[in-house]
Amino acid sequence: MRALAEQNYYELIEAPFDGTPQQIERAYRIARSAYLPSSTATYSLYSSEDCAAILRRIEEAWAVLSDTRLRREYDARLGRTEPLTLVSVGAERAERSEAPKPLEPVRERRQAPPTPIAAPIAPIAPPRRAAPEFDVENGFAPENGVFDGEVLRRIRVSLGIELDEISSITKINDQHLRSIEGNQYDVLPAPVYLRGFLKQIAKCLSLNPSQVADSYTHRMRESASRRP
Amino acid sequence: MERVVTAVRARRLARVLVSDVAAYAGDQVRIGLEKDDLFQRLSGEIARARVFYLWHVDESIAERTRLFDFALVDVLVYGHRRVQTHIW
Repeated sequence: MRALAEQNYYELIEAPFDGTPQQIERAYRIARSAYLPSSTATYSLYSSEDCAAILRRIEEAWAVLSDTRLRREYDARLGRTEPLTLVSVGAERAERSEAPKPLEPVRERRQAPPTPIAAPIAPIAPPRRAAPEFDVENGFAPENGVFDGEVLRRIRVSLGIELDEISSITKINDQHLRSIEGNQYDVLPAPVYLRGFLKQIAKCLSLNPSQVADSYTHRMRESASRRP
Repeated sequence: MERVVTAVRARRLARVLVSDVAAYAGDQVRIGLEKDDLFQRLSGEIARARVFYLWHVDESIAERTRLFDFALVDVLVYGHRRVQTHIW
């Protein structure tokens, strides 16, 4: 891995060279959040001065890569010869106003997942609610645009956001957050509150709030109607 | 989810996964510390989180395994340092 000072803007924010404006924006937001003073990811890795310097570079990167013309010029300076798959400015704006696309599933890895290192699951005396399982193979891809609790959790983890952080930003009780992510419809708050919670969570995850709230409550109603 | 190819992102992913283990385990972390069987008690959850982490973090990160172990200690042990236990 190259030193931060030697990395170009794409490497700095970990965005693909031919990334769409949405991918660039997402990468910028993730990179920026990693170096904010409140970040738990870097609190012991960098001094506050280092973080501030890196943040300045990230903002520089965003200023260039978010502007179609500046980005083309920057790419030319980097010596890239292949054409970018950038959309026109008008289309780019339209694309930005749309709901964020679901995260891509991981397809490039073909080998079997590593064997768990820890011992087999030991029986645990008091029964407790199981955490939603991760699908290792498919990563964080929402299926058919349906946002249920597990999908929200996957997206949160992929963005590197802890449950406590969501709770402190939205002021939603972490018990409610766990119930939402665990699809525990029986213990969720009243629908009017639930929609508000879902919209706040969606904002934290840079998702379309209305789409998330509609999708989740639709799934919840479906589940209720299946019950005897 | 995109491949994690930097130590900073790997560290963050590890912390998020382990903090989720703690969040969903409820009182089990406290009981595990009190009875000094935390890692046996949560072995299933930790194993699943570790598999997920290793699956998504690139092998080029030399310390990737240690980053996960550090997160376990940081979040599960140091994060619950106020629990009254004979361990400390």
